[in-house]
Amino acid sequence: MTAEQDTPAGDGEAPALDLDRLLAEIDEEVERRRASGELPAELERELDELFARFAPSTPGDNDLDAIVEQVERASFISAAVPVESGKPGASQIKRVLRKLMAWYMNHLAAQVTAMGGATARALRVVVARIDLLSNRVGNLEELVTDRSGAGLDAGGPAGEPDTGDVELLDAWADAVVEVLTDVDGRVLHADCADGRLVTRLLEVGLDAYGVDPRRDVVDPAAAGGLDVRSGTVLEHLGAVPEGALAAVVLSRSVDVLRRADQLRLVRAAAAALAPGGVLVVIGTAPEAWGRRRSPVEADLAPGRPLHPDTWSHLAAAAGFDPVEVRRRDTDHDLAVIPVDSDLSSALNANFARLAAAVFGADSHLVVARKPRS
Amino acid sequence: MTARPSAIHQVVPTLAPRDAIGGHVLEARALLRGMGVESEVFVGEAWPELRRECRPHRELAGGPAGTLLLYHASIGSPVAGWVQRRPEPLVVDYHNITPSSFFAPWAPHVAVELDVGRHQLADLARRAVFGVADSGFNEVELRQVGFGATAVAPILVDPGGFAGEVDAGVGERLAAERSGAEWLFVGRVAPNKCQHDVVAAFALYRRLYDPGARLRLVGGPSAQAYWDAVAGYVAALGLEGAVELAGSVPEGAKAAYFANADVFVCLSEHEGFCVPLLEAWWWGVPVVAFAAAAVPETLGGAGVLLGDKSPARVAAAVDRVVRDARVRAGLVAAGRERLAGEFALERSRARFTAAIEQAIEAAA
Repeated sequence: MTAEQDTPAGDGEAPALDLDRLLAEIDEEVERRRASGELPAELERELDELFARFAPSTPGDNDLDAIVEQVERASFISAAVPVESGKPGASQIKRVLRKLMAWYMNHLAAQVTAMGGATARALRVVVARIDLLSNRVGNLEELVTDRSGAGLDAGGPAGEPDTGDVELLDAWADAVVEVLTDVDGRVLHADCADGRLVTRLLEVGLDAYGVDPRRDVVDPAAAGGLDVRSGTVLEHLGAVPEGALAAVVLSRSVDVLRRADQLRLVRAAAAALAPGGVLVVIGTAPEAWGRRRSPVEADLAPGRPLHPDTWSHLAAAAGFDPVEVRRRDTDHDLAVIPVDSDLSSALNANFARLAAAVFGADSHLVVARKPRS
Repeated sequence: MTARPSAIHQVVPTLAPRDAIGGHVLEARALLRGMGVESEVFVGEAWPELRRECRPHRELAGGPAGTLLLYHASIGSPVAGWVQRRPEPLVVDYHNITPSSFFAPWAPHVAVELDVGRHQLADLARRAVFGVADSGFNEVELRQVGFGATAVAPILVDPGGFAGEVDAGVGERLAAERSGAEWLFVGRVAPNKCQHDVVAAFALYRRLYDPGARLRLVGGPSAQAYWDAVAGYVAALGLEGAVELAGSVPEGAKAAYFANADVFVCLSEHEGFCVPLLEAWWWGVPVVAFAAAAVPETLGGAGVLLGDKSPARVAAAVDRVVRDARVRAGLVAAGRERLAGEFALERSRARFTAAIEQAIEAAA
């Protein structure tokens, strides 16, 4: 069965198209080529990166030096107006006009160039001060995310996601699938690690893809045919057109981002979601932070996990309604006394209270829906 | 009973030929005159070939009571400030203003103009009695900046006007160069129109499906830096012989490009309406487009609408459209049907007239 509907086209009449089916067939074609290796995941990334070489620096590039260089280049104003023309004689007229106006244009150009130069110098001073501040603060984020560095990550060897990460994704996978069952459209998972949740979502028929900043984790998954890309969730959401996604699932980096970036993340997700879209946050309970992550990562991370109530508050402030929270209880129960007596019952009850107080819920799922209108 | 104005004059920053807004303004003038009111076009500037059709805006004297002004907003302009200070009731016809963020890295001066345009639109909202929008997408923006009463009326385009004479010389050249599928996009080379994404998808298409394919990008530059980047990208991909940056071309040449095309690929991220889709339908060229801004609304199912413009997905969609004769025929038929139905000039005229009647009522 193909995208044409069953009714035959007669007498030169064009067949009516089932566009949804056509799109599904196009998607299947892409997936088939990806799976067969004809369409390596890095090919599309290389196309993007190649164009980026021609694009001017933007504030989003986080490359202040390049931006200041751009300002410096642009600060030189030339009074030599181009005189080429395709029209006969126009070039000569322009040349004469340029000569006649030279005294005026040179005067203006000199002033504008001086202003541009002063602006660029001021920017250089600002950049130098920012560098100084950055050095004093230290780049903790790099310490935490650089897997090839001093072994600060909680996980195993390079190329594999950390164990806490994987355990959390596996623990919440069924719940995420249940929440997204009726979603119609593209689903983004960030940070997708080795793409295990993306795979689960694809298995239930969802159009899922993933993003993760750890290239050594993403590349093997991409080589296996999964649509997973390297990059940070904030960068990716910034590049996604408004309303393009049906669901966004956030995990891992939601726990370690700086506070300001956590706030930006909710707003960016809200913008990227279509009306009726779903935001899902898989977060670590703040109380369990030191337990779930390696102590080094937990201590050096630039941010800390937020309570589920805080995610709910942020989601509501970004216009999501309703917002639902699910918590996962810890399995760190204290051993109970097997003797059946009033004393053992009392002690066991106290152990249970103690376990709840010490360990509590270790993670949560926040499900926020963007209103349809 | 509503007091009808004796004159509805249009004010537009620039009146240009071969321009959708320019054509709309002249068509609107005929309609307004047909409604029995006096109507002239006042402009900030006009191209030489259209100067006989309009007058400088400063020649608009204090009109008699009962004059209504219809201002066309699409860019920042001193004319907007001038209109703001006029005493006549004001109606704004909004053709969309591209968000400045698209242009800021490429052409900061254009970005400033666009920002100014959006600020001016918000200022005009406080004074305007009514807003007319080309599309529902544009109407939402009007509401967001504070317009209380609005209506949607598609841009007035006469599809019959697409039937210009094909430039035989250009047509012969294109036919001689044909060595595979012919991709086409028509629109100014601008960051919001994302011609670089079309190039990326085309590069992948040649690699996976059709090494002899060609891409024609018709339209002059809106930002020279972006044009240079697209040209550099084409060269870096080794596609100089396969991608033509045709620039702005006369109507006859444009007709030849449409007549030669196998598929029209629009990966634009911001369009207030997108008239070239209508041209593609008229020429029987199937459309593959990215779902952004007003494109889904204008396309209305008469084309392959992609929610994601990854090069692989675009290339696969184009391959299907080019290779599958039944899909192609279905899309061409759907396009022609939409052109003859939703965007038939008579229907657009009726909707514009109804919007003007609403505006008159709001001004009374």
